[in-house]
Amino acid sequence: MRITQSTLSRLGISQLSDQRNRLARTQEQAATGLRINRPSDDPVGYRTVLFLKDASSQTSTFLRSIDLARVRLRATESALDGAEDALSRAGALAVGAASSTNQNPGSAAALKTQVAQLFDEVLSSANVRAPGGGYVFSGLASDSPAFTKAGDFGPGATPTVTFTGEASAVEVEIDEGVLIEVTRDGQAAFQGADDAFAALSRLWTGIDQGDVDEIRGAITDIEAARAHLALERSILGGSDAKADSFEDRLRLQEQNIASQVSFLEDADAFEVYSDLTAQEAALQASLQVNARLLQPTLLDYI
Amino acid sequence: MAGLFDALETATRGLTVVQRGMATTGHNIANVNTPGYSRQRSVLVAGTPQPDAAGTIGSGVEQLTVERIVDQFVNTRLVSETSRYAELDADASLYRGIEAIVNDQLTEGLTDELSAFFGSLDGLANAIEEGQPVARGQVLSAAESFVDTVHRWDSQLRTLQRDTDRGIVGVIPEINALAREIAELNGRIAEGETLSPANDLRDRQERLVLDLAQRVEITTVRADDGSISIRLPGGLSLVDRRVAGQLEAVVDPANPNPLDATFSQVFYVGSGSSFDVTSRISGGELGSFIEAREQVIAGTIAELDAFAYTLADRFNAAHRDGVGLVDDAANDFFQDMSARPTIDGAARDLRISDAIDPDRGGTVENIAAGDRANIPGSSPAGTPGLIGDTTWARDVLTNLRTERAPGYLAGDVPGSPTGNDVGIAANLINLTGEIGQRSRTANRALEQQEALLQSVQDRRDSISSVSIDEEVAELVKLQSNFQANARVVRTVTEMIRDLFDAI
Repeated sequence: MRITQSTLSRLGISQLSDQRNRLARTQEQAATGLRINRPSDDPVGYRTVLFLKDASSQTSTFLRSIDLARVRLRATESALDGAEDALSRAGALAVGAASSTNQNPGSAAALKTQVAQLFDEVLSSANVRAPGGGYVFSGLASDSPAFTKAGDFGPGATPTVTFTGEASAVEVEIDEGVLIEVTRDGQAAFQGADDAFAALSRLWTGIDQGDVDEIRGAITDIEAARAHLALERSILGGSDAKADSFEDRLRLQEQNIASQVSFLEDADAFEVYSDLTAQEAALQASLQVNARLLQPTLLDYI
Repeated sequence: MAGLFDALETATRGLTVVQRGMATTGHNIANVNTPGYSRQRSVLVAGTPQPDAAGTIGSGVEQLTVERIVDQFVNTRLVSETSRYAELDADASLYRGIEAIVNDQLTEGLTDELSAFFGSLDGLANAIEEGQPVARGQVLSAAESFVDTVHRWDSQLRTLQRDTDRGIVGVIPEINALAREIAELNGRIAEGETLSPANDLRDRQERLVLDLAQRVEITTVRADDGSISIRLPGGLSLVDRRVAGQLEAVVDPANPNPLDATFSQVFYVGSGSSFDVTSRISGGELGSFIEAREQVIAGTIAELDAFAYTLADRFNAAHRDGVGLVDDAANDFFQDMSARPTIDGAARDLRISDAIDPDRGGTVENIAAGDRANIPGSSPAGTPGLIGDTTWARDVLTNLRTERAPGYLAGDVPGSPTGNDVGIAANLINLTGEIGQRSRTANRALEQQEALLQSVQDRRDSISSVSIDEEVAELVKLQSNFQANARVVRTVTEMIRDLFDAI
């Protein structure tokens, strides 16, 4: 084939431009640290990266859910704990009251005041609000107090407590389709078969009337109510454990996704820098070769 | 019978031919860098011999003509490959433009916005009482910023489409000017070649044809008189000997694109008639521009419309079944678009519904985070959902991100999606992934075409381009030839003087 100056120069120019193109691409990779800088760099990889990033944003959403779930879990647990504690103290009071055979009116009055205080303590635990608002035992109607007290302790009268919330436990999604309870159904917890308020009222009435049998009955009721609250608390403990294990799993998943994304979209730094050096050297070599090839003609020798 | 004067005559003729050869070689060297120049060569023959009793005596050299070294087949291929290259080059740069719009890799893009929108719904699902207004506000602002990005994509694609339309309008006068120039050259060549081949005019003519081929695909036929006739795809005659047809960009009121009625159609203006040839043009820059405007960009816009409509339709259907905090009305989240004849323009018209957008008298309280089933049973009609109830957001709305259902395709009619089952996030990712794939294909095709074009150019160069080496060697040859002829003249002269001296 006949090769002329214009063939050589066009070939040289197009090779140089190819080399500069490659160099520009490598430079871009070095600058951004990314192998995929636009969809066409690796259409399949690009798509996968987007899917992974979407999955990663879901994972971090669930992790945030778990953090928020813990806030309500703690609030509910400590409320149940407080109510349980008050009931234990009421139980101890009741045992004392039942064993002291001759009561003087003064100590009975003091006992009644203490029981009434414990009653209010249980009520305030049952109406506790989570940080950030929301009555934890009101279920979905979290803007209204769980229990409303009407009347007060008085001669022949005890207060009535009505459940004004919504009877359900609030659930939070901590992973695709995985729900944990972060509160308990207030009605079932405090006013179910083992009604904490009724038990305390019975104790108050027993002391008021000096009726030892009634007090003994109240002791059983209070213990049953306390045991029920302990049971509720242990159920939430299960939620807590589940939240912990899912948190671990989600964090692991987040790391996995991050490393997969990095594997797909990140440029291999060593490769990029060695490519850059090699391409630079090649470009310089072609520049020199072209400079030498394009100049001489037969004219230089005759 | 041949005498001394005949020998003198032969030598002078030789000197003249050498001088003409020098002129041709000089012309070649002078045009070594002229684009489209084909090297020329003197065609020499031995002169007509004169019969003589002692045998036929030669009469020296004779120059028949100056020949232009070309291979018509290679030149024809160069025309078609140049067309194809220009088309693919325009295609690739178009895809680079589209890709730059939809690229989510270097900046926060639409997929991130979509993730953020669904993330805000998750936030609402987890919001505790006092956090609720904030969470609802976040859903609104995430949705607004998502909608803004959809609008940005849509408007940037439409800008690209308008720019391409301007490209069409801009390239047509160039085509017309080239056609006129070629027609004019056709005339000059036909006149000039009655005497001898108009080599340089033919080079210019072929150069112009190549320029024209870059702009639109053409087929060429060379007539005996040296004129070139040019046809556009579909057999429309653009240049017929000395007559040039014209194209015209006309804004067509009956444009098939109802959203942008300002696009120009390409009209062919021939002898007395003028008609729309937009769909018949192909190849070259013009072909690429037309395809970009009518198919590639319009197709991408339509895909974005389909995505926006699928999202709004599916999200609204789920949202209507939930309940907000104001009353139990079934509210749309995105403004309802089901009354339109087709889903075209859905991306442009996507917006937050009146019920929710505070700028239009709505309220974020209408965001249906609650489950209708959780409204206490005995409540009168109109009772809103419970404030702590975010189960609808948790169980239904956030799941739409991945839930698979039939999607809309470009051109569908509201109410009857014809696409495959696809999740909303996947739908969007596929949309951009698809563009990346097509862009890659376009780049690959361009690279291959570049190599092909280069090989044809190399072929043409190897036949027609000037080699300085050859020309210098030619100069040396001519110089020695000149010296030899001059020596003949001197010898003959001396012989004649000798004769005169003898007298």
